[in-house]
Amino acid sequence: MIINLNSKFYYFTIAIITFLLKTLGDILFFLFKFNDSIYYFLWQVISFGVLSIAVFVIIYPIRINFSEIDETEFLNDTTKTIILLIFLLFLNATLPELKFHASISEILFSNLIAVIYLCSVLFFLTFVLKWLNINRHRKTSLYNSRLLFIFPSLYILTSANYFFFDNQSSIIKSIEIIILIYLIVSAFSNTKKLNWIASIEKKHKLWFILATGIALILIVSLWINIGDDSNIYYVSKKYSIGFPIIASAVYCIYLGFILRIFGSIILTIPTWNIVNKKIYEVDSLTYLNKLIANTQDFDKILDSVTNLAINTSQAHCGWIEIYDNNQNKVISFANLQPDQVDALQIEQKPYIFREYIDPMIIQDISKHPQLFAEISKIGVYQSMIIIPIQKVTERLGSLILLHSEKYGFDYDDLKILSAFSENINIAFEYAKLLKESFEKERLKKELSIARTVQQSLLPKILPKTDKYTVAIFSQPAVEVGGDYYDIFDFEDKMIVIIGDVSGKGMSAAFLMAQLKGAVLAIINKVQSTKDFLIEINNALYGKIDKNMFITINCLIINKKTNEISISRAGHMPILYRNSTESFYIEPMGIGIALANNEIFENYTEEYKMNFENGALLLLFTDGINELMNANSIEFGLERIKSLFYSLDNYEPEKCIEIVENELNIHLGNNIQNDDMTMIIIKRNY
Amino acid sequence: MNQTNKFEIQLSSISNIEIISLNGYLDAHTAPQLEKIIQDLMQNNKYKIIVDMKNLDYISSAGLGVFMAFIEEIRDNGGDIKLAELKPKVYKVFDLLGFPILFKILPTIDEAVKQFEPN
Repeated sequence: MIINLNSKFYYFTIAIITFLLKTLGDILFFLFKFNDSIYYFLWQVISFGVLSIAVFVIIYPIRINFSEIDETEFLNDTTKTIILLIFLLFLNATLPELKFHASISEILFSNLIAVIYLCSVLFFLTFVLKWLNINRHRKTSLYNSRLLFIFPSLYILTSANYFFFDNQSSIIKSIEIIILIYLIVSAFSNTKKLNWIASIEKKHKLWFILATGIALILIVSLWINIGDDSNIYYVSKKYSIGFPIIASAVYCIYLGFILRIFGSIILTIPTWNIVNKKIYEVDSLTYLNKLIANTQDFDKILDSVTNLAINTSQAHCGWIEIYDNNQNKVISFANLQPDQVDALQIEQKPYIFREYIDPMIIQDISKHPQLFAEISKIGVYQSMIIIPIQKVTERLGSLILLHSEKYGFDYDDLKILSAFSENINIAFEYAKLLKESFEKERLKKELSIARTVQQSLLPKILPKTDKYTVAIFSQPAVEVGGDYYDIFDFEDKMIVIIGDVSGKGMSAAFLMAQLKGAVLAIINKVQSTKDFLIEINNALYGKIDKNMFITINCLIINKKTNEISISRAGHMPILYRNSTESFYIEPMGIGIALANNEIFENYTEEYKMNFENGALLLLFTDGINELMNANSIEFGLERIKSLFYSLDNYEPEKCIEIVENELNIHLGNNIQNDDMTMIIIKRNY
Repeated sequence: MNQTNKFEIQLSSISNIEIISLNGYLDAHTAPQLEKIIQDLMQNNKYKIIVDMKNLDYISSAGLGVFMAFIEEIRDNGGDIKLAELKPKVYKVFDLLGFPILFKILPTIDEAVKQFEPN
């Protein structure tokens, strides 16, 4: 058989065997009248020691959970000791007198009682040690080992007194008493880390007081009853000579421990309410912070704040109002009806709560006529708290709580509610940040959609003719502008359109789509550049936002005659460059959608000229000439003109390369603010 | 977008004529400020407006759009927006777009004020 030293069964067997051996030995000593010998004494000591240790190990819990104090478990354990105390008192009262053993049956009975008594005494010891070790501190192990030394010492002292001084040594008795007193004091002082007592729930605390109080009364009365000549005393003394003093020692430890617990709870009575409140405050602030961090629903956060504020201060109702554009708005409320809230919002002018710049308790509203008039509108409330919600110096709003009785609030409420207002502030900031990041994300998305729309509206393939070479440069800005171009190659003519719609981003992209639609609708029947622009203006004037317009250049190249005609609707002039000069062509014209057709028609010109062999035409948008460097200097119309003049017989692709390079040098580290578009057309023969 | 911060508007008035002085860069980012000013004037039934562009360095299509947005309503109420003291570069932008047909553009504020006087 493998013996497991940790097994309680093993110790249980030892305990039973020891008890049986002890009883058998007692009977033998009794029969042989050997009761006063030193052997009998040694027999008592050894059997008592072994049995005590075995029983202690059996009833001492193997595992102790050190992490947390379980209040209910402590109450249960205390109740068990109370029941045991009552049992012992009862046992002591009903036990027959057994000063001397007169028969074997008396020995059997007496030993049985003694063992029950021993178990009870050890239960008290395990109870105290268990809870001392759960509340372990740095001196607990020292205390444990001291007890290991004290118990045998007490046993030896008592034995010595009995054997050598016939129980008459007052010195030894005094030492014993000193040790017992020490045990009370040390149990009392080693019971530490009692913070948990302060945080016990209020209703548990009452039970704690009751249980420890009863335990105290019982242990004291037991001690009085089990004096030097009670029945239990004799039974235990007969069983082993040091038993009574060991029992007394355990009672002392129990007394010291219970006294400390009882005292600690009593001491917390005056602060009960504060402690409970603080616990609630800390809990609710923690909850609030968690909520703010995890909730994106700002309204929910506000409602939680309002409700927590009401619960903390035990107000009857409350609300949070904000001041925006000289209007007060109730954004969260609790225990109020919607019509009461309406009354607060409509009739509350001027905003008297805003006048209170510090957290304030009004213990008697009736003494403040203004407030009284205001509050009366929603009901009978007699005291109130006003907490300003502030962001640095800007007053955002107020948290207001009402109580139906005078003096309904404490100054403690004011402190914690001020902390709440900080949290509301954080919630405000957080909600704002969240909104901003949503807005940012939305803008980003919008820009990418706008760019996609713009790109889809521009031609993907350029017409290829031998006679004319076309090259295009188009570079949208980060924030999409509204550059638009199109080239339509017919058998007899080529139509080139370049335009710029006003605005940026999504609105520009939509307007561009409208423009493209109008262009496609008329392009097949276009006879002249002027007609084209008039048709476009006709299609769009009055149909788009008043503050939006479009500038367009329309160029038609007659393939047979090489005649070019140009009309300009408010757009940048077109640059023409032949072998001898470069100049801008700027016929009169007005932007699309700025004027009705009558004015538009009167004002728009059509310019015609011959497209000379080898000459270049440059159409561009204002993103090119208005391109700004870091010093806010624009690229400029003059520079475009001179740059083109300096070019010598370059192919359009090469020209664009050169101009693009010049533009990039000019831009430097600056950001391109507007779309840039260039179309270069060259007549080859 | 370094120019977004460089925009200021000052309001003044001569008799019953409101003078809006623009300063810096008027573009898509700053146009809403001007929009709000003109809206406020209209709400107070002030329809005679001169825009002083002496210190306006740049105007974009969005800036031009502001004038277009309100001119109709202002004229319907017997008022007008007159533009004065444009820098050559700014004038060029207005001119390219055909604004001189739509708006009175005058070299000085005094002349603009005179335009509002009967006869």
